[in-house]
Amino acid sequence: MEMVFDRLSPVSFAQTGLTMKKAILNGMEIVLSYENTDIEMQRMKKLGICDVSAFSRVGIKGAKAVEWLESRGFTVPKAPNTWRQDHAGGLVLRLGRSEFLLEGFHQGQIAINANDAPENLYVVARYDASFILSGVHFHSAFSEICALDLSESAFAADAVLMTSVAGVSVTLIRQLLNGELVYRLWCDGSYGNYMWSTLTEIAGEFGGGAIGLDVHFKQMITGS
Amino acid sequence: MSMRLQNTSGEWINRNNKIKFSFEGKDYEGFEGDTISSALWAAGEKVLGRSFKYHRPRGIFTLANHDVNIMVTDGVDTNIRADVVQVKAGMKLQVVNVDGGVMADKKRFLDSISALLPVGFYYKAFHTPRSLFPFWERIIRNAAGLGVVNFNYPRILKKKHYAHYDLLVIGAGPAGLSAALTAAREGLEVLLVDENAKPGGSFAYDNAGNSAHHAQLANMLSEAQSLPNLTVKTNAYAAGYYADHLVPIVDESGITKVRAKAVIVASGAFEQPPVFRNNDLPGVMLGSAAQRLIARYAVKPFLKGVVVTANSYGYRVALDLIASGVEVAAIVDMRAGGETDAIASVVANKGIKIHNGACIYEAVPVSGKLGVKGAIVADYDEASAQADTQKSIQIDCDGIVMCAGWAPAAALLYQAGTGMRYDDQIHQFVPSRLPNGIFAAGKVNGVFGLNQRLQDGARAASDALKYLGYVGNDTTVESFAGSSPSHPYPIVMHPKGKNFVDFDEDISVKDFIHAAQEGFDNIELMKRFTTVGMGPSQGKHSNMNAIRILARIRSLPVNKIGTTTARPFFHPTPIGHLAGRGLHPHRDTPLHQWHAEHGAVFTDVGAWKRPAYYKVDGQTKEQSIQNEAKAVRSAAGIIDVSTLGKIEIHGANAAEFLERFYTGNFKDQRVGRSRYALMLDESGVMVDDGVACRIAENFFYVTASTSNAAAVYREMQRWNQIWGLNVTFINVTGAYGAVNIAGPLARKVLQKITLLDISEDQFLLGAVADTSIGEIKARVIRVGFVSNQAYEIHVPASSVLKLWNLLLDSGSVDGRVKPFGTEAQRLLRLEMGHPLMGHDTDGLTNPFELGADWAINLNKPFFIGKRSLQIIRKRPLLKKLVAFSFKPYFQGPVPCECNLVISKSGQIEGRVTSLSLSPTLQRFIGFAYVSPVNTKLGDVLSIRTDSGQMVEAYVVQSPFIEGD
Repeated sequence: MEMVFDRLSPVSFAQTGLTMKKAILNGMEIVLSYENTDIEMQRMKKLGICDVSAFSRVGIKGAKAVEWLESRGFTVPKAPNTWRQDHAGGLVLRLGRSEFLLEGFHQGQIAINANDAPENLYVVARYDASFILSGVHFHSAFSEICALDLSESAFAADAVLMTSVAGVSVTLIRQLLNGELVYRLWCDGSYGNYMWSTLTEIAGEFGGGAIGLDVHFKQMITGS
Repeated sequence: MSMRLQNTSGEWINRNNKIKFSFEGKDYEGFEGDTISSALWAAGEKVLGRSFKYHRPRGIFTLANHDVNIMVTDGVDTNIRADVVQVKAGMKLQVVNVDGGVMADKKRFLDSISALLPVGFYYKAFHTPRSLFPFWERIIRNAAGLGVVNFNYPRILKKKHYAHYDLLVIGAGPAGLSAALTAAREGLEVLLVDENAKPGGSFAYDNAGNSAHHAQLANMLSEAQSLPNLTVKTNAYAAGYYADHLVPIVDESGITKVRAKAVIVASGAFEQPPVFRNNDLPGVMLGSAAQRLIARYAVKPFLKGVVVTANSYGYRVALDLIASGVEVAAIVDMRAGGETDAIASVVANKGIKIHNGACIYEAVPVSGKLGVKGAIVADYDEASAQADTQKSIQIDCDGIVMCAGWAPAAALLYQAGTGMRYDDQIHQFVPSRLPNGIFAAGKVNGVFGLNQRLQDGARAASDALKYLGYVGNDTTVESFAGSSPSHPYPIVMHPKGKNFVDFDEDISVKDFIHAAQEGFDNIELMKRFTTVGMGPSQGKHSNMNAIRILARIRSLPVNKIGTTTARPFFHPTPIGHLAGRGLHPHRDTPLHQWHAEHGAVFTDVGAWKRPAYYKVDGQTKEQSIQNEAKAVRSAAGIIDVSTLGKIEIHGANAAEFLERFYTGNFKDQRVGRSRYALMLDESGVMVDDGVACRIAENFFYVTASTSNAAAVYREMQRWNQIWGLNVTFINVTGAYGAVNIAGPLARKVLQKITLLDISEDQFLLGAVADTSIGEIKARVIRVGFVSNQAYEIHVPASSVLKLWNLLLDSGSVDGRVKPFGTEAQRLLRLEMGHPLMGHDTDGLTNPFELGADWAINLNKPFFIGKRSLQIIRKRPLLKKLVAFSFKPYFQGPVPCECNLVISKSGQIEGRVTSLSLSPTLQRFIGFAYVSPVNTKLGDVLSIRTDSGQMVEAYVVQSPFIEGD
């Protein structure tokens, strides 16, 4: 039976034709798996690309953003261009002095009521393509498409990098997810198809490829 | 006859692996590790190529990637440099730039008529009559050129990577090795690159008959291998220097863009040939080439040879020749005082005759100039560069080595901004001022002794360590002692010429003299007139001599002549390397899949992919576009306008900001209304337009054109940095999508799916409202760009598909809502009389020329470009955009956009900017720039079509149609 979703994924076109097990998360289609678990685990260890565009996301911008977020119980990074994991499980990325990106698996992790925003504080609509990248070949692959030094000595654990990957402006962090070092990448959703195609093409050259949400979040979602 | 030597210490060949290949149709055998040239030379072949211009036979000259007259093709690749490319089994090689084979080249006659073909001959000889120039041009173009481009060359992905190091050391000779080891020992992450197959440089081949120092080299290489923080990359060249220590390293697999915190350039020096008649014959080679042949490939350069030298290096080469079994017939030392170092005695004690203050007047060729059979040696006057031939002698030999001096391999230093000076002690350009983080060591730094180069490498590493905040040891470099490594003027004049300075382009001394006589007596002008240094080797062995010749012609010191610009890349680099993976970032709208599934033919608009039109089976492109436009005029059409720039402007000063940023009024704009927003640059040129919607007192929602959205957002931020107004910008271009529904049924279709009252009297042109469509939060703007009845609906990007389908479903009752693309949009807005920014304007158009005076309020205190407009307004208009049309049933050739409007006097008056066949009017309509005196209704425009035929059009009223 065809699933009904409210929100279109920014990488849906690029994923057309792939065999997928899907679910709906936050009103958007998301892929739980593309291949069997063994293949996806192999890909994850080499170079796995997981689409998490369906995660809930919102931006906050304004001079009093720090105080406002703290007043709502969010864990706020102290310095610009750093990130923290919120106690509710979401991510809080400080993109500048007064600009934030909040992301949660569920909307509840980043519950923001735009109507609560005081004067001069703005809730920013987001439509990101968002990926989790994992595997031992991450650095080799990214050395082709990113000019920055992403080695651990140069890329601090709490750093938010705003750089260019494959010619597209992205936001990048590294994170320990289930004990594994992974990298998180966000770009404007209009580049989602291009970014997905480019990353999976390169990953394929390293024996990696697309992996579904089950690989990283099996406990958090039930597939259709 | 085989010229292969017995096993040589440190040789690069693997004698256990024989390589079979063919050259010019004949089978040969070499060893793994041989270059094409070394394998052929070992087999006794000396004619390996022909020169570019006169098709003279050429052999090994540098064996250092500069033997550009020995380029071959394997049938797939072309211009393969035989002197450095390793031979592979099964290769079938042919020489390029020959007609009929290297030995029977039909163009070799050109050498005999060379007197008729001096540099620049074609500039003068074929200038008149002009009618014949195409004829001569075709002949010259056919005669010139090297290999043939293989258009079936396979696409082989060559990757480009970034890499990051503390220190990049360029050149793994003694200085570079020493520098890399010194820095790595202190813990720096070091990359050491060398273009040769193995590291060591001259350490491994400049032996002077004694290879005892090889043990030291082996120890250094062993240590290099043991240091995990030192990466040695061979067969890779540093192609150029870019800002902030970015250096592309090119190898077979692709390009590595290295970003280093510091760079040590230890790239050595190019050996420079002395200039004498027939110095290009096969068998005449540089001393370093002979040493490489012997040490790397175990190949004897020739059987009996003469060494012409102007430094102690020539004596070292002579000892290597003797050690390899070559009979050295004589040393010809161009210096009047000869060699003062003890090495001269070592050579003399081996029974070698040394001619001091002498030169090779000319090399004596064998028949066909296929090799050398002797050297005419004469006394030499260094001051006049003349030989005294009265007592000349001929020494029989089959080879000549040349050791006249060096030129620094300083291209990267120049590109980094290094100041260079000419050192009169060593007759070489050396660094005088190095940029921050750049260091030089070894020969490129003017340091030549082996121990001195090792010390200089360590010194440079110490300097780099200190620069990077480490404690570097103070290292002393022994001061230079001995004779100059380079001769100040190693030129021997000869009345018959053929004393070559540039071997790439067959340029001899007289060509420079003639160039100077013609007035091209500046180094840059001389370069372009003579083409010296413009061949494939880029002057690596010719520029220095050219500079010396020009200095003497002009009676100036070399320092005053300067050098030509050394541009990246250091060696020719295949386009495939430069292309890399070929990434083409592009943006898709949320409707991309729908468009693709419904026959959209996409066009690029900025970074976006937009449907130009929807292909319908059985219809041409034009028919499809016309039908899309007709659907809008007769019922309703929808177009994906998600690509529009969308910027939220919040804050107490939002209206004030817009008043300054755009030309119109916004302070008095009512909430719920939109206004046209025209943006100028400071010179008054139109750069963008859009619509500014006032959503709340302190909140505007502004659109910008698709291709300018990012630039508009950037400009907003930049200007407010200056103005400091209380505003916040949020670029929501990608976060929101938008659909425009237009046409006489648009209101009916939209009204069915929204509670917002969009009736004609309630929702006027320019109205804006936030509402719901289905369950989608939407912002509706009444616009009039393509139709009188048109609504732009903005929704979150993730909901655009849902909106699109709702609109199609709503229109399905009538079955007349059709999608349309950008081509139909352009036609429709033309009918409505709306110029399109960037299409009907260019980089110089001001609003008065477009007739957009109505959008400007010059009474405002300030807006960007106001001051310029005030000045422009006082001047007469030079052009004006008019609407034009052809007569009904026009049958002439249809002009194209950009065709010129020609005045009665035959002058260019303007150009056509837009032109379309209007399905509503059934005739062609358009916009064109014309003279301001030619803008009255009914004025005739003469347009010159592509065929040259003139057609007439008439100035008409705009808009072309009254509405739907």
